[in-house]
Amino acid sequence: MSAASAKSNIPRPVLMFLAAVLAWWIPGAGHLLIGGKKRGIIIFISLVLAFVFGIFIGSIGVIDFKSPWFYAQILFSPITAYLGYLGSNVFHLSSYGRPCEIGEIYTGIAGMMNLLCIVNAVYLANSKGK
Amino acid sequence: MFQFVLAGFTSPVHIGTTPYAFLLALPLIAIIAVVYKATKLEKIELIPFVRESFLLFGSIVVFMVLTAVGVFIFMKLTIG
Repeated sequence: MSAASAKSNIPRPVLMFLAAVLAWWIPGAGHLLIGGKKRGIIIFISLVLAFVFGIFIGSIGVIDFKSPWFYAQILFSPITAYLGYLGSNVFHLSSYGRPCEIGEIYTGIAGMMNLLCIVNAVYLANSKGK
Repeated sequence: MFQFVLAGFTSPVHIGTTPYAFLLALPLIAIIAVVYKATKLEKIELIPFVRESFLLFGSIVVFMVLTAVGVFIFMKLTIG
């Protein structure tokens, strides 16, 4: 059985759920699951670039569990929580000032853009499912 | 290995409070335009995708500049 026919046999709610979870875990993976290869690659590269640039500018300390930005950052991927744990408990980092602001904006917007991609992947899965 | 890579991300970059710091908005706007168009276009083809992304990027930049000019004029007229 080919991957395409196996995918077409997945019930629509399951496909939608899988697309949402995959899109959250790995940005762009939801689109890859439903056959949007180019879309998935573009989303992955763009969002990972934004997120990595954000933590490069402000350090991992920009991921702070107590900051309201964390709710946006966690939408990027669950790995954000692990980075936040490393930043606060392993490296004992704290970021502040202009680099922190810019880092928070980059990582937060990467998360919010991933939410858009999750919703889009679920929408596309809904129109492709059985 | 993972923590070794992360060690390169443990100190913030120095960014002064200069007008040039606003240029850091440009890569973010480009990423927003690319991701938004990746979700909205029916079919992803190189030339239309680049054109649409560039148009959105330009529109966002132009409206941000217009907003900044508007706020600047408002501040000059009210506060001085």
